[in-house]
Amino acid sequence: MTETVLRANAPVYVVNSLDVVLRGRDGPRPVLSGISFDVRPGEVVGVVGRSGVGKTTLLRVLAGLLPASGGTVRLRDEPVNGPPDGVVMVFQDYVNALLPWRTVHRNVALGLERRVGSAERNRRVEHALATVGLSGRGRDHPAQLSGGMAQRVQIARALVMEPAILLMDEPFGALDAITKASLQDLLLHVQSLTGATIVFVTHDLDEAIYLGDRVVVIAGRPGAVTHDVPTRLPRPRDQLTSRALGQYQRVRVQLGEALHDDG
Amino acid sequence: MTARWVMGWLPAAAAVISWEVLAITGVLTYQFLPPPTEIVSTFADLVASGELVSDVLYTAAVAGSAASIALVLGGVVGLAVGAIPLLRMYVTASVDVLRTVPAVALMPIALLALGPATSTELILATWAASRPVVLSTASGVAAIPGRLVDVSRMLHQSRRRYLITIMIPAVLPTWLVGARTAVIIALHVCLIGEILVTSTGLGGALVTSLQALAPARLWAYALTCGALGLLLNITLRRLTRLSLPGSAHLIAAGPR
Repeated sequence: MTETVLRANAPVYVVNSLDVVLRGRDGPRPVLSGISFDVRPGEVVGVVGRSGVGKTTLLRVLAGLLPASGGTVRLRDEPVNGPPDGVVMVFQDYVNALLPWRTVHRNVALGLERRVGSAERNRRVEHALATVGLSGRGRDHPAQLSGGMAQRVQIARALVMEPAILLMDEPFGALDAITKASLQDLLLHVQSLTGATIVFVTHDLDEAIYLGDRVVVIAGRPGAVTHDVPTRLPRPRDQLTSRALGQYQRVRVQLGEALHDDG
Repeated sequence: MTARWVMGWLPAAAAVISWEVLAITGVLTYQFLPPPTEIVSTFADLVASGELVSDVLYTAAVAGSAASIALVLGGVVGLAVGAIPLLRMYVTASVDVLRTVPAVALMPIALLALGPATSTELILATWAASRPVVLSTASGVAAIPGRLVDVSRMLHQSRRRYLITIMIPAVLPTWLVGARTAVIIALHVCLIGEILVTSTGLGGALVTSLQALAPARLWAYALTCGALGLLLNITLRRLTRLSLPGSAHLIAAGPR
C-alpha cells in the first residue's frame, strides 16, 4: 500500500544537472547550466524567466526535440532520447504550428491518423473540440479563426492524444488579456478533468502563479534555476479571488524580487 | 464586372475594326497584312479541312506530355533537392549553370544528336519545362516552417507520414505556380522545335505557310498558337483555384 502510494507520487520528470550548449553563428553557446528539478504527476509547473534565458530550450529538451549536452533528463525512470510517448507540446506560434490547408477537424486528427479507426478518431476529435469550446467549428480552416481559437485548436490537437504530460511554450503569450484569461481557465479546467501533468513556460509572472502549483525561476547566462517556489494556492482557482489572496501576493513579491535581481 | 469586361475588350475591337477598314480602303497596301475578314475565312477553311485541328492536337499533345512529365519529374527532384541538403548543394550549382543555356540554343545540338523526331521535341520541351518546377518546388520545401517538423515529431509521425501529410501539401501551391510556368515554356519550346527541327504541328504549319507565302494562313496559325497558350493558362489557373481554395495570394503572385 505504502509502496504504491509512493510510486504514484514518484516524479514523472527528473532533471539532473542539465547543461545545454547550442551551436550559434559564432561558435558554441552555453544556454542552460546545471538545471535540476523534479515534476510530480498531476503537477502544474510554471517556468519563468527573462526572454533569452533558455526557457524554451528547457522545454524542448523535456519534449525530446533537443538533446541534452550534459546531465540527465529522465521521464518515468527512462532517459529522454527523442519525443517520448504520452508527451505533447503546444507551441506559441499557432500560425506556423497548424496546417493551414487542413480544416480544424483534420488538424486535430493529425496525430491519430493511421493509429485509430475513423469512427473512434472522429469521436475523439469531436470530444477534444468540445473540451476547448470549439464544437461546430470543425469545418473551418485555421485562417478563419482568431488567435485565441487557433490556440484552442492546438490545445485540442494535443488533448486528442490523451497525453499524460502537456508541455506548453508561452501558449498564451501572443493573445490579448481577455482571451488569455479565458484560455488560462480552460487549461485549469482541462487539467482538473484529465489530471495531466503540465509544464509551461511564460514570461508572465502572474500567469505562472495563477496556473501553477510551483513556479521555477530561471536566470543568468547560461540560465540556471535560481528559485523553485510552491504557490500553495487552493484549487479551483478564480481569476479574481485567487489573485486577491494574501498568499498570492506573498508569492508574487518573492518571485518579483527574484526576477528583479536578475536584471 | 460586365462593364469592365466590355471596356477591356474595347481597344482590341477598335484596333481590329480599323485594321479591317484600312486594309479594305487600300490605305494599307502592305501585301503581307491581310484584312481580318480574310484571316477569319482562311481560319474557317483550315478548320473545315481538318488541317488546323490535327496540328493543334499534335502540338498540344507534345507540349502537354512534356509539361506533365516535367511536373512529375520536377516535383520529385524539387522535393528531394529541398529536403536533402547535400543534394541541394550539388544540384542548385548545376541548375544555376545550365539555366543560363537557353533550351532554344540546345536545339541544333539536339537535332544533330537525336534527329528530327517527335521525341527530340518532347525531350527538349521536358528539359526546359522541368527547371521552373524543380526551382519552385525546392523553394517551397525550404519555406516549410521548422515548427511543422516539431509538430510532426511531437505527434510521433513516421518520415513517410510527414512526407504525405505535411511536406507534399505544404509544397503544392508553389509546385502549381511552377506548373503554370512549365506549361507555357513547354508550348514555346515545342513551337520553336517544330519550326526548327521537326516541321510538324503548329510550328511546322507556320513554316509551310511562310514558304507558301500565305500571310492569311500565317496569321490564322499564329493566332491559334496564342489561343492555345491562353487556354492552357486559364485551365491551369482554374485547376489551381479548384484544388487550393485557400491560396489565392499565391495564384495572384504567379505568372499570368
